[in-house]
Amino acid sequence: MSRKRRAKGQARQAKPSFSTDDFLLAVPHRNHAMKTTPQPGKKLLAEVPMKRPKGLIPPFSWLLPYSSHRRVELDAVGAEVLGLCDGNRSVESIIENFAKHHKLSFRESQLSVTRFLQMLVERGLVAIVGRGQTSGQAHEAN
Amino acid sequence: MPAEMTTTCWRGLTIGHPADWELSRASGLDEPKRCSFSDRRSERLDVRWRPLKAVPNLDHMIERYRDKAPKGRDDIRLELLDDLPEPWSGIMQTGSDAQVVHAGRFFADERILVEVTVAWPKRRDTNLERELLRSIHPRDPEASAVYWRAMGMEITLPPSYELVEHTSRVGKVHWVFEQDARHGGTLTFDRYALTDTWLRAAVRDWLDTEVTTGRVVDRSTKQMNGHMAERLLSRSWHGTLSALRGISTLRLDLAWKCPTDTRLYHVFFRRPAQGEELPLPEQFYVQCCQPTAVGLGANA
Repeated sequence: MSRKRRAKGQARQAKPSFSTDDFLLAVPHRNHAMKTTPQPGKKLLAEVPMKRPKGLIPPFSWLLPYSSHRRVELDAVGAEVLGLCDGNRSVESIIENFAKHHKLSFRESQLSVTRFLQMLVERGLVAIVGRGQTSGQAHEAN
Repeated sequence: MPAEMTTTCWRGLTIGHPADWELSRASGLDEPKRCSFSDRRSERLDVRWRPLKAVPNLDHMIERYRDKAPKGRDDIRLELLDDLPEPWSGIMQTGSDAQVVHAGRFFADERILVEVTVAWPKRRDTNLERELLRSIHPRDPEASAVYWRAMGMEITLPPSYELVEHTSRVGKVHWVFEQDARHGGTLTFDRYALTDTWLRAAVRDWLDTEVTTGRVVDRSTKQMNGHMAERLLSRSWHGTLSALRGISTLRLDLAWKCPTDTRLYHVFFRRPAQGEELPLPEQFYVQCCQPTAVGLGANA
């Protein structure tokens, strides 16, 4: 298979279509390579290693700034949601937990947790594994 | 046995629904009147209502839903319903995975046509459906106060106040009501969630950061639903002519944190006035201490 086609296939695989039901039953898994450091005020600094771009070799790498890790600072609420992503709890369970803790309705909690999980996925901190997927596939996607 | 019920009162219509069917859409000032409710999985209830001068023929409504149904599909059945509470008329569309009930009723005294769509993803619950349809009623146009209940907010206001703006974002519900141009009063209601994460200061200090314009005339406390509310009266002038006539805009702010629902309530009333006092409207009332509906489980 050509590299272009493989890349296209991977992109298609990375964007599966989820129904609300599928999404609520899916389980968020933390990136195993992520390191977290507690910060003052219940904040959390999460670091995930990033792949070095292929073309970034000396002398270009001497000139272009490159960080080997992506750093994301999470506030207390963010750290709480990330803490709930233990690889066992479903999205629905995380939403329920968050709602109970902050006395929110399910929908209020759903809106905030869903948006936040989306951000965590985009930054590579978490992968969401749906029904019929394995956590291994999710880590490959990460 | 139907699930625990609650009511939503929005733009003159009261709708009873299971507590875990949460409001997902509510129409604004310039939109056709409509409310939709969803459970955790999907939209379950859609209610539309409009004033009508003439008595509508509900058979036309039934025909309209019949025409809208997908044609040429063996898995979709349509049947007229005769088990709805009187005087509701309706039709049910049965598909392979769900049943959808469309029903309508004209409230002759208030001259309002209400159309309801209820989705049953598993099995149709006729008891709940009947309870739901029976609960729907328009407000009495002669009533001296208007009751609003939606998005966790519950208030009572004089009928002269019209909702002009509403937003419901994560953690904040915001409603603005305006009186007619002659009286010129504006009432704003804000309800904030997640106070344990962002409200570090005392409510009094937080209120000071919210009221940034005008001169503080009076500061005191007031009981609101048994909670101590901070009260702040401030005044600002708009233009030299108004100032010469002694007309200024008075703004009365009330803010309190409800220990039961842990929400911060902020109400402010603004009106051009000549005196030193700004009394709140007579029927004004805000309810707090709202329970949250989490943990009831999905009502299928």
